[in-house]
Amino acid sequence: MKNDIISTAENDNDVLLRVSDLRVSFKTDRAVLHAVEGVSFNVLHGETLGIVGESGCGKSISCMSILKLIQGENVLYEGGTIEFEGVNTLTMSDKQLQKIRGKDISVIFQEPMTALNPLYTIGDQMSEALKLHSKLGKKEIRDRCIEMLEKVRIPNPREIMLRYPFNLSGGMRQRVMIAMALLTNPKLVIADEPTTALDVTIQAQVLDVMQSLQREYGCSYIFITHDLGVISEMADRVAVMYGGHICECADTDTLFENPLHPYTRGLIASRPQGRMTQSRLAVIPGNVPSLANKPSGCPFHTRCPDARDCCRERFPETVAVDEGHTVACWNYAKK
Amino acid sequence: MNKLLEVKNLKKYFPIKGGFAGKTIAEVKAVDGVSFSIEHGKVLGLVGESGCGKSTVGRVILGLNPKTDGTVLFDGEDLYAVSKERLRELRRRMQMVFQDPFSSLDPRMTVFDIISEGIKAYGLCGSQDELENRVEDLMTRCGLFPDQAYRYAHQFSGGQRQRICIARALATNPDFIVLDEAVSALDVSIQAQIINLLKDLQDSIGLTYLFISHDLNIVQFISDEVAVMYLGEIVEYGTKQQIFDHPMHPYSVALLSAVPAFTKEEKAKKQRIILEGDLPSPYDLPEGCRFAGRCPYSDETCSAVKPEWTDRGDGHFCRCHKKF
Amino acid sequence: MKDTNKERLARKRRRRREHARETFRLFRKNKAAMFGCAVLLIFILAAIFADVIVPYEEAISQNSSVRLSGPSAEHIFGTDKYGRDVFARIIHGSRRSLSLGVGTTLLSVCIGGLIGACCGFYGGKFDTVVMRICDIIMCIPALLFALAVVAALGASMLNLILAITIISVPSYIRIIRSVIISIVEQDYIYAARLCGSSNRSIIFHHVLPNAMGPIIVQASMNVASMMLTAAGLSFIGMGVQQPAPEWGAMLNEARDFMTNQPYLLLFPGAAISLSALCLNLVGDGLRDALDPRLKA
Repeated sequence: MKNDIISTAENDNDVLLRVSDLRVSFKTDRAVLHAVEGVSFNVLHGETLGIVGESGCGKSISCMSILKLIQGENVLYEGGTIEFEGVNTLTMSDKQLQKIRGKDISVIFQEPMTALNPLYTIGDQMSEALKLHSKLGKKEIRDRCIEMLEKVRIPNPREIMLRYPFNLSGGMRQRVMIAMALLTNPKLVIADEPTTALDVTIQAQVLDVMQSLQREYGCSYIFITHDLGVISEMADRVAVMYGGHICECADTDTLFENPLHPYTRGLIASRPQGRMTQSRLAVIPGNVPSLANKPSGCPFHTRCPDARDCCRERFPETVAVDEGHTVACWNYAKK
Repeated sequence: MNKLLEVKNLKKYFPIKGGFAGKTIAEVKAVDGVSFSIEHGKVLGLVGESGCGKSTVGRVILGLNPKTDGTVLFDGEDLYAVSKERLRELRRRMQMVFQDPFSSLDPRMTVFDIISEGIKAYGLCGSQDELENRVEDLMTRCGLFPDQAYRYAHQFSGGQRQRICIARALATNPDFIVLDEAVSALDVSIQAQIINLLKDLQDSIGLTYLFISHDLNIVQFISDEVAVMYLGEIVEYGTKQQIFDHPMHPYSVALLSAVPAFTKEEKAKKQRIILEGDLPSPYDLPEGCRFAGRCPYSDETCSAVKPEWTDRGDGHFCRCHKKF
Repeated sequence: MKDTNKERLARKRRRRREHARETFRLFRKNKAAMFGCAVLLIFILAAIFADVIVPYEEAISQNSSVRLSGPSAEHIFGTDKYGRDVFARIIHGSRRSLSLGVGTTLLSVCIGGLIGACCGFYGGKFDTVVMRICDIIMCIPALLFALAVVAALGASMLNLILAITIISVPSYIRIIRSVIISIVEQDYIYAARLCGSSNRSIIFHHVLPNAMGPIIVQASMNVASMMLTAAGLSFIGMGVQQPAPEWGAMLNEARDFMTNQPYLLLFPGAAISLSALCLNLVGDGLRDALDPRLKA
């Protein structure tokens, strides 16, 4: 199975989260759209897994499935397992999930303005999670909140506790979100494009805060982004997603130095970097396919320079080309 | 010196109205004394963080917002002094591509209507045949298929929509295009396509661009000259090599260092400077240097006296008290 | 690979035809809208062929021998306090009621739309003055204001329409103005300016088509309340003059017999609510069918 290939290099005790063969679809009037089609990955204790991909590749959906944050009549979890510390979260009841949400696993969203309730003070919102998940007293909760705000380098935390979200700048809000996410000392933090809405100098601050908190608390991050630079600075390992599949997964240095999948190669080559001599950029032709008209077989075949007949027919099996370096491409598949 | 666009001491203040009679109670100095020029066929990259006023500069130049003060010379003619008819003719030669490919196309119009609007308004094509040929030509040029001309914008993906926007901008035969974050909203693999398209158009038609962006990698790739903006002012201005290889202003240095790199060599070269604090509110700007509050090298002079705009040699301008 | 002009023209025609067909298909797929359409059609046909269905004479001739008789084979909807046939009055009343409701709505949408569009688009002093005038009109109780207008101009069907239009225009101006303001901020309006389009062309080609959806919904919802306002005016003798049949007036007359002869209330009431409901359904269907974003 795919899962075995990925986990060979890792001791099972190190694995915090194991997602195997996850399938998520959306039902619409016209058709069933397969957003995630058999995604498998592991997150180890204390590491940062980066998931990179373009819009509609299923990166957010696969991660939000871990806490079943996407729910509704038209969402179908069609298969696979998500094991968090050995327990399948997909089959959990809402009540059990609530115990994990915000305590063992927390989430940092892209847009801090909409993720914070404008009617409550920062202090109120921060203490809510602690009230639910810990037995701390009022004063202890307050102290803990202030301590966390200090950790994310917010000046005058005591005063900020009494402010409302709209009083803060974007960067401050995102740091508050990070403080909130880490309040309960979670084992896993899912960060969904946490710096996309921020300016570069503010992004640098936020990334720095996230790294130092990880060193201190030893939590694991799943870092979702479309920005190759951010992923390369933050992640230990990177999974590249395209069209609902993970097409390549490797540790960060390997991935950027020796990308194997044609999509990863194209993606890295198409980003201008530093001083360049050529007058044109390398390009992946075509458009990012929408969920409604996803190509058959390997979804990248319509844009791939070395697409063959087999690419159009079937999705290739994920193979390990090197220790911890897996790729799903017919170029590397066992004949 | 063959300057197509020259901006001198441009100012744009947005009034904040309040009180019973809607009196102006304060002003936001979005653009406060910006000067630069762009030569024919060149690309000026205007970089800065959100709220620094870079988009406002583009909009004021194109007349979408009226200026507060300063002059804008296009091809040697003062846009605020020429006659109405002449202004209309000059405006035809200046176009813009917006950031959001979704809100910049009218959802109720077909691609043909969108592209032909400017041609019709300026009466550039005599007959319907000519018009159709011209639209077809523009679509092909921008990498669209002419048989998609009677579709609506929502039937296209983000990258294709941006191509439609570029075709629309080209429709009036412009010499100068303001690209306001024109690729920022696009997927990574699509950005490269659009940048190549912009470069090709520049080579073939000889267009001049004002490339407004927060993405320094792309600015470094596409620009000839670069201006760095901070809180309504240009703090540093020079050629691409000057700015990216030898940045002088501490803000430019920090900005460049904050860009995450992904190749090993780039990473090794990088020394990240993390600025403290946020941008001050544009309502009450600091007395002296606007960057003083966040600058790692600032001292008393910086927060008291406004630094001069000085040439540090070879047209490399910088607004800073210190020399590094 | 340039096509010949003929081919291109054919392609263009085909696309246009496809759009029209698609619009029609979307509208037809909407069952609620089709139901509304069918019922409205019946009402409209009844209004046009009223004289064929039942002579006008029956709607106004008083007959004291059959006062307040319930529905029967002879008078399927019963008779009112003057012994007039309710069915005949409803059929003939549809002419006035429908034209009152639809006419006033159309008139106020056109006037309110134009003024609201100018307010939202140009802003400034004009906008401020218009908005203050709207506030003043909206402060005066609607019925009272209409009463004053009719009293000044004289009671007639035309003046009634005029009066109701005047009191409903301010709310249209407000709604349309706010819709327009949100559209004017969109980048495609800036882009149209850069293309050299005049303000007039921008308002008619970009702003109004995009404001159509909310306008249609608002208008179709208002038809019923227009009819009722007209009824109120008729009741106090300022609108449709007795004995001419009109649904709202019939409803008002029926109040005295609410407990003993509920059918007198039921039939005109049903006619008003049914036509209002159906207009609503058709309005919603139209909005969806005309929106190119919902087409494949």
